[in-house]
Amino acid sequence: MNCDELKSCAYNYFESQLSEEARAAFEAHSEECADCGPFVAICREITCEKLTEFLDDYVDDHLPAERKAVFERHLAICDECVAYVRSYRITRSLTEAQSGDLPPYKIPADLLGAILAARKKA
Amino acid sequence: MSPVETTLLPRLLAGEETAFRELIETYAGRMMVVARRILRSEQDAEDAVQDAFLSALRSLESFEGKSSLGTWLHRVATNAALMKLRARPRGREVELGDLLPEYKSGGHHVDPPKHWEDLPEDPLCRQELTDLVRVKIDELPENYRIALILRDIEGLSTAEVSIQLELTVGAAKVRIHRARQALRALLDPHLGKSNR
Repeated sequence: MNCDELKSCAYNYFESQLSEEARAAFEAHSEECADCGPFVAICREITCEKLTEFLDDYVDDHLPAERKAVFERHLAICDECVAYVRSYRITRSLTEAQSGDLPPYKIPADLLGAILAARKKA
Repeated sequence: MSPVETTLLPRLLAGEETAFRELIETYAGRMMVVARRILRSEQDAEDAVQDAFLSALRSLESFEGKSSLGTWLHRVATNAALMKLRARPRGREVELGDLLPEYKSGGHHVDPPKHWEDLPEDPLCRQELTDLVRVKIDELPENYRIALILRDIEGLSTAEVSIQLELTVGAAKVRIHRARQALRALLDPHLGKSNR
């Protein structure tokens, strides 16, 4: 197995979808290759599922530095999580934008009157 | 407190009628907005704003000026709207099901997330998008919709949301995060482009 082959079948390796033979070749290459060893180690650090679970803390920059570095190593190799984080951030900004630009509001005379009358009664 | 509030407060405490009118005319708009968002009914929102003003006027003497009068009234209106919401016949708490991402046993996404385009700059397109987001927020199950509104639109802290929703801070945090994920899923067909 070479480096390109390892990277293309990493997904299936971690989803236990490789044959025994391919699995052994994957592990042998990752142990002896100076590039693929760290790549596989990053893959083992955190899954997409765990990253998504704590994504709010990452986006709000509330993660401890060490944990944040784990997230960033994962994002450097996972296009799917990069796409998810981006869409999550856009969703947040679109939601927060709902609070801006309020249309002017003039309280209806009957509601104003009702509040003032209720106050006198109280 | 702003200079306006500094002069308004003593007049309110003295029971001056024109001061109450001024207070209502100044702050009713912002209070209506939060009540409408929570209750989605004009009549109920007006009732909540009325309740909020009466409640605020009753407790005016205890207003300590730690926040602005506007911020305080906003909180009071939020409380009044949530009380009205709780008084409605309660549907069962709905879970988000398909709106949360699913993962394979190895922790990878079942459906690879789509890449989202940059947001449009054109004001008309932006307005359409704003309207779409509002519609999609309204499609969220009630318990998630309210958590999202309070945190991301009304700007309450997670701790404040937890108090309003009678949840632990941890549970409120999870609910807010899931609400954002669910809204992301509802917007995905409109903003995502297939990348596979």
